[in-house]
Amino acid sequence: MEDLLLLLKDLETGMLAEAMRKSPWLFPIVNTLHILGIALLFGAVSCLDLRLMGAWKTVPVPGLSRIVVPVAGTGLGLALATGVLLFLTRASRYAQNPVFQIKMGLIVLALVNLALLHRSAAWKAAQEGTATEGRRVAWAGFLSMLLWLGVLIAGRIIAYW
Amino acid sequence: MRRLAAATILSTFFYLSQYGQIEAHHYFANFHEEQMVLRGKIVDVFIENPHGILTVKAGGHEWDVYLGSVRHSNRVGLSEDLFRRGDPIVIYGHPSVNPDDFELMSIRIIYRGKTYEIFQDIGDR
Repeated sequence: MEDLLLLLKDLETGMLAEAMRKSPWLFPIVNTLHILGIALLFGAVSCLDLRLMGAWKTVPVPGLSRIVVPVAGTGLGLALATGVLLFLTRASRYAQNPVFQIKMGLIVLALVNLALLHRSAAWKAAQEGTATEGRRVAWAGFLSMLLWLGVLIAGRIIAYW
Repeated sequence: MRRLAAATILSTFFYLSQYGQIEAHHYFANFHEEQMVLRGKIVDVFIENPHGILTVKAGGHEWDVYLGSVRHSNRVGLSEDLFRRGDPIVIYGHPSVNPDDFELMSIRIIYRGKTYEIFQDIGDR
């Protein structure tokens, strides 16, 4: 634990973290890109999740996921990359913030949910257009939405904790 | 699945409930309505984003005095070069609701006979 704290202190005294703090514009720019990433991720993910939960039954899942998955992936990548930069500015402080810890936990849970869904037979069947319904897939969609919404809320609360 | 969701929510609340004491900063509601005057000596100053921090030693404690963003600090006339460590400084501000934090949301800084207006008074919110 002590070593981790020292590592985080090293990170926040590094050049990148220093630039993030000292530049008048870098922080707000990175912050904006972080929000853009979240908007793309949650916007895309919620469309697919609602479909999996039973909305727009006439829209085929394969076509929808072809659009939505790359958009969500881009959003996630952008949010992760900018998130690391934002974290660096006060690494030791954020790491000790319980809301930040919850946010990281929720991200891990959301990604585990995603991985489990993508490996399931029900998802493969939905991708081939043979079966688009199913309780398992609907629950995965519901959990996904709940978890990403939790990530969003926790992320916003960090600054006010 | 339903049980898993319920367990997740419950454990989140349990986790949060262990942090009864809020590590307050950034949020005006976490600062006391009454203003106070802090007279001390400069330990360190960081004009930074998302907000600057001025560390002041007063009455045997180190206080974290919160400033605005880099742009805001520059606009009100503050820069890191302005301050010299060990110099006396007077700060008007709102202390954290938790007195053990020794944190102050700055309203006005008086340094070397000059007054710097930081945030407008949040006492009337």
